Amino acid sequence: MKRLDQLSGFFWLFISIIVCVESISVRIGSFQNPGPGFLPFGSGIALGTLAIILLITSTMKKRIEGKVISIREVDLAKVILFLISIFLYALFLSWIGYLIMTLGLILFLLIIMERSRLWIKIIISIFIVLTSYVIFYKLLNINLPRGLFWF
Amino acid sequence: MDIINSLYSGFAIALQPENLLFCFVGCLLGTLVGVLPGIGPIGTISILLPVTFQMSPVSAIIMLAGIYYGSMYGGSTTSILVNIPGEAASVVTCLDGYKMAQQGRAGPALGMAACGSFIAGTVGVIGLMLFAEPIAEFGLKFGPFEYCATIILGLSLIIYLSRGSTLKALIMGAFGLILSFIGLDYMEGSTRLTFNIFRLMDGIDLVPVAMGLFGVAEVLDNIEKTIPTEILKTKIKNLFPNRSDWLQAKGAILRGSILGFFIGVLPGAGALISSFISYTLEKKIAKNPSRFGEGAIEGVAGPESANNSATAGAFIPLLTLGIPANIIMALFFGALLIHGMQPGPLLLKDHPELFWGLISSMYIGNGMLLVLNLPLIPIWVQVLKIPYKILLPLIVLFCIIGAYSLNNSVFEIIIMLIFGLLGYLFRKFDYEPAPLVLAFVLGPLLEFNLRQSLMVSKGDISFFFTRPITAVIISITIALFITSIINYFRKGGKKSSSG
Repeated sequence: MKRLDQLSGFFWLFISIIVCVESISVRIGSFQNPGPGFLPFGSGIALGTLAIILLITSTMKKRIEGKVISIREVDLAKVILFLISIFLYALFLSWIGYLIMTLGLILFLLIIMERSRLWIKIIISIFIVLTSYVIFYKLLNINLPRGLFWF
Repeated sequence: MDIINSLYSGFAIALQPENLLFCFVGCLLGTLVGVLPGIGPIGTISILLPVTFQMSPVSAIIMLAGIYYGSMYGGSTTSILVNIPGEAASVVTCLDGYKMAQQGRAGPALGMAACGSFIAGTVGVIGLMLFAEPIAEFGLKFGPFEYCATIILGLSLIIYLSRGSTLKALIMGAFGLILSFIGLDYMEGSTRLTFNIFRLMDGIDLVPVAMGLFGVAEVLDNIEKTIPTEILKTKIKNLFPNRSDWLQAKGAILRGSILGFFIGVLPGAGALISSFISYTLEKKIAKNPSRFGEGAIEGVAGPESANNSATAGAFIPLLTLGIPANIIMALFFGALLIHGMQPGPLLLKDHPELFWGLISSMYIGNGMLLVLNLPLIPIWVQVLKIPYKILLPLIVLFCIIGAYSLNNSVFEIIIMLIFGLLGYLFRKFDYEPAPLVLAFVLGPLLEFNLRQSLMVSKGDISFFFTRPITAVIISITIALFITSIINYFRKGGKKSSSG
């Protein structure tokens, strides 16, 4: 856990530096006349200070505990595939349209998550997509992208 | 007399067919997510927030509130039958509820949980009705200085919202504040922290942030693990507890209802803590404490009453002072803002229809939940048999539709995806997203009131200590911090370092 804490400590320190630099560029102002960067700068300083405390405490902890939690056990491939699929979905949604893209996405997610026969997954996907279309588009009047086709 | 008249008009609003329908939908969904282990009321409210944009503000809040208190009812079913809490606040119900089910008394356990929840839920709503107005009237004395102090008090609750490391909770809070400042500065019109991304000029919406952190992250977290849902094979009979069950449980229900309500009012405490305290109290005052953990009906009735009563109590600080006492109330705060209402003392004055409509719907909702949770219990048992991995794509779908419908733009889906990844990494790195959301919601209000106060006082921050109300609020905030530091040293630094 300390290695992860150290890693996250550096990440937060990095974020705080960026926020402080950005805040200075838009004017911090003063207590009498606080500018747009006043509170972002204060929050950036607070984040940086907390990150340093995290780094110090996690480094000191190493000597006492020596415990490392690895995240290797995580099925990273599935997680990455999931993220890529949603990203591609967002990228092509407006162009191809809700029904086709969502059908593809749900089927893909079921393939990577659920162990059952393909035809069952296809039926479940079609059912989910059509039901969501009726509920959100027809009943709740939520605007869903039509894309290439008329539906 | 005023209360009776207001309640009467509240019932007139809540009984409108549209509001009645949304109350039922909220209670049904709440019971469903309460029954299903994994996704809880936080994720569900985040996901369904955009759906409420099409509704009137009263209907929207009625439905979201139904999800919240409905999940408390549903959570007990899974605790009793599967020994897995369907909702965090039902953790303690597993101890005696599951034991009762193993002894062939699943029926009375489920029945007592539902009846206790109903009684406590009603007691909680009565408390909300009686206490909210005087507190809101007091809140009317607030100016920017007092608001500023109140928001700082609200932010200090971050320490209490975390179940793990306080340091990490504070980091999340600071990060949440930074995120809330992204976009145009309302006073000078200059853009901040947008990194020349045009779409960030309007800032980041609460909806994709909450849906990413709680919805998408939940899916990512569950891709890699299986939730075992082995339902105890027992016949569920005698749902209505017998006379001796009632005699044993009546005190626990009463104590749980009162205790739960007041703990719910306390910022940061909420349903989970109230259920634990109720269980501890019942065990302590019991003539034979060794029965607890072996199927004592008081161990089910007390905590289940407390967690339901706490949900009503939690509405008090939000509706009267504009302070979200827990993460769900922070989402309600966001929902009210989205619907053009400012939570705080003026809410009762400017929108009495919302307040009294909500109160009345909670009375009706509690009745609906009793029906949903007693005769329909076999249906919820069947729901438990649905593989969780089939529900995950559904959560993704709701998140996508919700994010897209916000501005009819895929940009929100990307934002949601980024926060989903962040939420997943936060879980891996042992960070809790709740403080981030609380700070994200309160950030713009803090900025507005603090800058205004500083300009009026010409940079003199002594107003925090010289004005009577601000001095009291800041003293409470400091006391909370000191208590936290004392606890830290008492626990030998276990809570405050890295989890």
